[in-house]
Amino acid sequence: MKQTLPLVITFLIGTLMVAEFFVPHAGVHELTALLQEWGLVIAAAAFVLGGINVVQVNIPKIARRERDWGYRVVLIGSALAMVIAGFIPASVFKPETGAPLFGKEGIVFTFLFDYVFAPANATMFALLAFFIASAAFRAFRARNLEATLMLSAAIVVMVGVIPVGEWIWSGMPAVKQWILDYANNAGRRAIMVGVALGAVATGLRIILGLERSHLGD
Amino acid sequence: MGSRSRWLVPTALLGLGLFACSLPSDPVAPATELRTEIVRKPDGTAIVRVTFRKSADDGAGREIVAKYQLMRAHGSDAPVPVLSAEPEGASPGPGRAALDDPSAVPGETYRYFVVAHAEREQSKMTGAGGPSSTSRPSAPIRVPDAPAGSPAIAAIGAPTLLGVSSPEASDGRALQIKFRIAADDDGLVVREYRLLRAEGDGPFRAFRHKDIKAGPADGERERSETIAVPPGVAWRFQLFAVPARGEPVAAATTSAAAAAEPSYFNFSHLWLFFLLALTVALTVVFLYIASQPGARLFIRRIPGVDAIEEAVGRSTEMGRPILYVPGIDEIQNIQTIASLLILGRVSEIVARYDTEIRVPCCIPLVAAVGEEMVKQGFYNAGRPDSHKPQNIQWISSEQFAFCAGTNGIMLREKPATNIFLGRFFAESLILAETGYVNRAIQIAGTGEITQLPFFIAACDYTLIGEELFAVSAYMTHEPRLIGTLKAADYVKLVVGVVLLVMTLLLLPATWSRPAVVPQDRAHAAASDPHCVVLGWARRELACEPTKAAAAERMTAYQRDNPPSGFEQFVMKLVGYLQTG
Repeated sequence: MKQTLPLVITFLIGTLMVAEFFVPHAGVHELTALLQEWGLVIAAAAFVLGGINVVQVNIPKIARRERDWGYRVVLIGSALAMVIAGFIPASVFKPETGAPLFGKEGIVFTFLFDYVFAPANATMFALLAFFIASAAFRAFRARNLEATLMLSAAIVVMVGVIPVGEWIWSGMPAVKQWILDYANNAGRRAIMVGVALGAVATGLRIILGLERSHLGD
Repeated sequence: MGSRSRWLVPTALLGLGLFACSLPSDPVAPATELRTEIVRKPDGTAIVRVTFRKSADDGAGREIVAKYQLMRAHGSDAPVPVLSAEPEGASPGPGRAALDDPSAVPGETYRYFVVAHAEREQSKMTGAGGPSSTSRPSAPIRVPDAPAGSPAIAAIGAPTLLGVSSPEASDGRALQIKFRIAADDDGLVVREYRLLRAEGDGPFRAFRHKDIKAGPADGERERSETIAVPPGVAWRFQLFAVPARGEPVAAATTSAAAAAEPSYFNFSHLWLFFLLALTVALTVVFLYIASQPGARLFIRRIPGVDAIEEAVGRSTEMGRPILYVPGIDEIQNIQTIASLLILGRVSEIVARYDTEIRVPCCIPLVAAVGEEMVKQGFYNAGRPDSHKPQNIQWISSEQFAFCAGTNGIMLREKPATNIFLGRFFAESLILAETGYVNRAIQIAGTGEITQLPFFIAACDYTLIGEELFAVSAYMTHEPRLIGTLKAADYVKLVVGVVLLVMTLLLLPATWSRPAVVPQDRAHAAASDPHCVVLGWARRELACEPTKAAAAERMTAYQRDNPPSGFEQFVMKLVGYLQTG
């Protein structure tokens, strides 16, 4: 029963969700929309679990003064600051402007988001430029024929996409476009077909109850 | 200097070089000397003609100006494009040109602008290409009132209501109204169309529905509109053409009563249904084959998966944990599901080796399910006491906050093996490069095509696309799971054969035509109202001085070159496959 019931539920719900793609009847759509709403509710409830997880993982390590416990204090402190700033009702107002100090639209929350979170987020994203440069330098070493072909194609595409490429040779953008439209596109489409069929096969394995590792089989 | 330090300088130089080369170029010179005048058409209506001197960059040896666009501003409003403007004489080249605004409303005052569009629009990502430039505004001009009773007002014809029916693949709450637009509707004389509806034999009433815009759609004068209606009620409709000035004109007939009927199968998805049915049928066949005594189903080796156990062993020897990242997408994404299934298998191996696994998660629900998968893996290996729930950790739902947190784990705890399986986006390379610097064995896999090159560049093993979905079956070698892999492989073969046959069918049709237009030209035609693409396979580009002439040429071409029976069959099949 411990295995059969989840398998039956998975089969029924999975079949219904697949059927919705092929049956446009409003009744089927309403039923699947309801199930998806339930999914959203569960996902929202999981944020509470996530919060509990953060506390369970970090507080004991802070209490035991484990290595790097200071970072965990910053994590818990930052999380608490955002929660408090967002959850306090917007009933306290700044005297000069009348704008609310707290709440989701409040000055404190907006300040923390705009001047702490957003710059930190942008900083992490900006690091990508340097990581791309270092990874490209390593990947583009002409170690063998295949790597040399890749290096040549990459140089043509990189130079073809920047203004200086057209200045060097007017046909460079056309060559770059040919590589992207034909050589690159053919490979991409082959992978996409494989991914789509792999996804269908995985879905079928779960819906038909062939894959049972999540049930302890 | 270590080997990594030696790379630092050329890497930085490469990055700086690419950055410098990608700096945006100057905008093209704007159009100048804008002059406006009122021009009377034979029917008495007034249009505004804007003459201007073309961009100084236009025709100066390099065709860097692609086209000119007319914009107008009403009062102090921001300028908006004049969509109905025909760029007469405004093709690229030196000298002066004129653009007409036939949709200027009588009695209104406008300022006009001319935008010179660069040949290559500026890329938002790289900044490459030239930005467009807008001219200074013209002097304000007032459009004179049209003379009362002018032919333009009196000559609006009635639209024709052709029929009302349920649309294809209807959910039972929509009706499709087919109608022919008024004979003289060129998108200017008629402002819009409006529908009135009546329940059964009741009176007609206006109902809340977006107004239907005037003019032909894609050159067709017979059009259709799909509207939402309550189910189970028969409706009649009356159609009105609303002129730019004057009273609305009703269609001669009202529609017969029609109720929305639901469809029980979406036939535009028949092709996909066939593929799904084929997959299921082949799965059943392979399950049967696999159940036969002594049956062995062959699947090729996947080195990345074979390396997992070796990598776990290495971590055990080094006394360091294994880091497993199940992507950053929601639990309902199939890649996340596949990754969590693999996590269960990997946990089992980890438990057998009695080492530690760290699972940072971006989504709380993924963390909750991931914890269960890891716990189950430890149970399956017979070591439930070795499972540490705190090792499955929700970091943050924000992409880069999660990335920073996971990087922190990598740098502080120095896992000997990093496994990135699931759906990744821009953080993929940041994670993989940090792992590379950390000298960990890295195994990655994703179905995201844009992230695969990053993983290939930075990881030791990469599972490309479909391999991610095969891992769970591959690791167990269970015949029933391998059977689904074989079924998917055979479906892939069928798809490949269909693609090949379709390509071979299209080739003769392409060769039999004289001109094949490159893809960029075809794209250009889609945005140039003067040009049409003729033919169904050759895509010949035909440009005319006016939009109407281009549409006429298209009509004449279709009349003079009807597709053969074979061409019709292939066209139908291609269209069907594209829709499916």
